[in-house]
Amino acid sequence: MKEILDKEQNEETLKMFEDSFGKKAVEQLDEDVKKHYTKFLDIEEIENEEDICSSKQELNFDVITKIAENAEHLEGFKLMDRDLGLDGENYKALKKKNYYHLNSLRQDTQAYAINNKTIIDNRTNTLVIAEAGAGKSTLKNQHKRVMRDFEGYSGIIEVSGVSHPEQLVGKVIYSGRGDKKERVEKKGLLGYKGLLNDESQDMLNEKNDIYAKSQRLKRIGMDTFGKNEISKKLVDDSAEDIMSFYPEVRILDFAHPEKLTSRFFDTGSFRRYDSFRIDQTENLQLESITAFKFENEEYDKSWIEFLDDKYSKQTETKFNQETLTIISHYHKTMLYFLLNHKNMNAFRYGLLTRYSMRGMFCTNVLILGKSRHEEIVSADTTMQACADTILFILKTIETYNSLGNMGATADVWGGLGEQDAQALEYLYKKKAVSKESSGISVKKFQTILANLYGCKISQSRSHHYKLKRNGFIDSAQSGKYDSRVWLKFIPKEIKLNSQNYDPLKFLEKYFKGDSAKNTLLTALKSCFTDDKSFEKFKGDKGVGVLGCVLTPIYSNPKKYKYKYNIYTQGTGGNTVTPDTLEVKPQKQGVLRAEKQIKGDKTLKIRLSPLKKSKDDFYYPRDEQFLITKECENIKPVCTKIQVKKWIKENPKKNYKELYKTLGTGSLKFKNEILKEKKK
Amino acid sequence: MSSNSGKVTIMDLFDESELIEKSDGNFKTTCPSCGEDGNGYGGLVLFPETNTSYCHNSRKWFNLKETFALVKGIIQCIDGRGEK
Repeated sequence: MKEILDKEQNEETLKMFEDSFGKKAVEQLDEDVKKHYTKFLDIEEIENEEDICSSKQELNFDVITKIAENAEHLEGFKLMDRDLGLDGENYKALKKKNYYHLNSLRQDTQAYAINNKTIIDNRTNTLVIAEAGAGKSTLKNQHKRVMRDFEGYSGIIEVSGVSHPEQLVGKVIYSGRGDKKERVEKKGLLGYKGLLNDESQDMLNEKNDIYAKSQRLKRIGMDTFGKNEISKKLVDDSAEDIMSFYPEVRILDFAHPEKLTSRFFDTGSFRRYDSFRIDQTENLQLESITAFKFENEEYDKSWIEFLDDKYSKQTETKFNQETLTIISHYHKTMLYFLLNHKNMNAFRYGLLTRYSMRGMFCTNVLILGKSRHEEIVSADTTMQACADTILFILKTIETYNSLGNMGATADVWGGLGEQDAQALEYLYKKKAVSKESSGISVKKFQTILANLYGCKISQSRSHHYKLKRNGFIDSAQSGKYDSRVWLKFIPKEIKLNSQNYDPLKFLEKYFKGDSAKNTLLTALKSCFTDDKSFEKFKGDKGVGVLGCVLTPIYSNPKKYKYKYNIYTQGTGGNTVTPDTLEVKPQKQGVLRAEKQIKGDKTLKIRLSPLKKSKDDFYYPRDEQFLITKECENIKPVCTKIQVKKWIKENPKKNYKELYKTLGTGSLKFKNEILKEKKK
Repeated sequence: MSSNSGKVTIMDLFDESELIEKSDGNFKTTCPSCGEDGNGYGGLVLFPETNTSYCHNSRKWFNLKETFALVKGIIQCIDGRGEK
């Protein structure tokens, strides 16, 4: 309980209390306060508690995403980057996604039924969440440039803000009269090949019925091609007059960083996009921001000419069994990672996309295969596209984790709203599942509800009683001054049966050379500063995903060094090629590990010799004293003889007292004397 | 000064003549800090059941020890606890 009396006031009060009522009364005072003031206690506890319903475990995707951002294998990526004209570390993943999106826009739409369960196409959709001035217009302009030669329905259209459902579908009009009356279909926005939708945050969150309808149509539009017919029938339309079409649209949505509500996750909109949040860079480098130079590099063609050349003919791409096996492995590794992740959003994303994730991998494999004009997709292409998909998925989860809460969705908590679901989640976290196990009082629960609803505690009672009436919770008086609230509705616990799955085993056959697994493990280990953080990462099942991302780069380093593709990572960064990759991850690992294990002892490995082999790291204390620069000017204020004498005279006293008496240098001499004795 | 059970209650901190009994069984008196009197609505309300007090003027709560500090002028009523 928070004290309102400071130390002096408290002492003074107790003294005066003792004078007035005696010593015994003072002893009873504390007991009395504890017994009677549960009302105060409830409020104070919640104020001090950090994890009221919103605690999010760290995602720690940095190690994987930093490596996966390597775009060496994408032909013409440098041209695309130059054409786009956006600089900065934060854009790397988005640029890569943009490469896939633009390629998809220029490809003919191809639906591909792999088997009865999986039918995919080469369309992809992107959601960019960024604040003002983060380069949204730059991105939009590039899309328009790329599609400028295509007018009409095979072109691109930009809309701002909310679109009415009718605008998205279109309409049938009749021109002429009598026998000359002709039926003309005017497709709506979804009839275009590219749709740029600005300010779409309200539509994503489905703030009202119109937005919900529009977003629903967009969701249908983003479904697999050939299975997503959009139709519209007016009252006076006959059966043959019904307007219907299969949208080929690739949607690029832009939104401001507003909270993503449970509607976005409940309706499944979140599964249709690869989402990227563009933040401000943490470290602004004045030099690189203000660098203003002419470009020295000259290219013989532009990005648009490159695309024109590439897609002057189109290839129908198919998969073979090896492709499916690789995709299956990547799918399995990713699910294994996400379904074991401690972060609720990562876990829920894995759970809700457990089947559709296969489609995400397939789509990108198809796009990359078509861009390389491969009739049967090669293993390299498959692995590279899958590694890129991992990057997109992880970035998407990072985005949703920063702006939403997938754990409190209605499907988990029996259709409840977000605030109620969060309050129940709090009870669940505190293991309040029965009267006996609960430590949450009614007052405390009402305070939590008040916090979540943003109302007064007295007003939150109605929410409490509503939950009780609907059978989600129960509460009862416990003793004279205490009460308890506990859950009656327990959400399903999901258990993953992975049957001792080893994600690294599969990757071995894609390594050239001896002891493939060791090569991979060496590469993986090089991403970490020490064994402890590596082991922790292994425990998070992240090592399999990291292996999946590293394998396509390591297994075939020189094959995909394209002419236009010497990729410089960010401004002022080092050039990364597959040859230098062995060094690069080490740096990234250091950065990440510092963040991840802040305050951990392992970073001070040189000063904790017991953790490592003694030969490598052991530094005796007296040597440290002599070697360290800071200690150069410190000179002993006593002599060895004095120390020897003191030890003889005071055999039972400890080193602290020795230091107190004789000062600097005494401990060094003491150690020397002890060593001599041993010899 | 203490009650019959030997235990100090909030009532022991005030002179009996200063206390006015309310219809709900609690007592009210003049707040020693702000001077708000207990005539009509207001003043310092004492709750013997929980050994707490509440000042209507500052809208703050006090436990037994804090009420004693209030009476002795160690703290002011505006330093009390906020919402109940």
